[in-house]
Amino acid sequence: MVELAVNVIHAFALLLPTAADNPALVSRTPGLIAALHERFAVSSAARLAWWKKSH
Amino acid sequence: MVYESVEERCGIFSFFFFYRVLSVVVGAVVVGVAGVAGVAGWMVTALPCPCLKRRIGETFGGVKGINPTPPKNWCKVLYIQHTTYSSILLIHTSRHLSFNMDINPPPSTPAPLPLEAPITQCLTHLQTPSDTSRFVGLAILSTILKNENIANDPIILRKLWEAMPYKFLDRLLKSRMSPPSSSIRYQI
Repeated sequence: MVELAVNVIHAFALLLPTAADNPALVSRTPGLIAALHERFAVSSAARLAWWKKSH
Repeated sequence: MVYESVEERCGIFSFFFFYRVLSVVVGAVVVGVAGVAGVAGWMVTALPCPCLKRRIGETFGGVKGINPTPPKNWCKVLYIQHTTYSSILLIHTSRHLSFNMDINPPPSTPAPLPLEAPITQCLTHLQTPSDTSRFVGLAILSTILKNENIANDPIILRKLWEAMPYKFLDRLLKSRMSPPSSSIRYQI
């Protein structure tokens, strides 16, 4: 679900001619950063678990 | 001796009698050919031309077997179907002829793009209050936006962006990953 939302926002950011001035698009930035942070935390935990099991 | 007719005077195999029989035979053949041509003309409406097939399908709600069991007033129904088939065939032929001979001017409205249906479907899904429909609309949208024709059309892009459910998009961004199932956890 997060991937779908990020994909759509990314596509519109590339395609809309006035994407930088679009408030509805710019205001999505905090949500994108939060999603990135959460995904990074999940992937970090997975990598840490894998590392603990392999060592 | 007084003769009452030509045959009586000249015999059965005379020249005049032969032409009389010949005219009857030719008349019968002409009537038969006309009948066969009529039946063939009625049957030709069921030819599998795609355009005609579609028109017949739109008219009767199905291309194959209109009514498997004949109705009581089958003669009337057959007549109506025959006249409808004939009108459809006439329209079909006139359209093809006008297209080939370039009699009629081209239509003023441009032909609809093949991508118009997915766009309409996507907009319908995005504007529905149901979350499932919105999700489907976003999935269609992510596929549509990869098309170059739409990517180069700012009007369609603007329309799609204005139909975007922002709150639903934020909810999707805030959604967390579901906890991994036991099999995935075992692999980790």
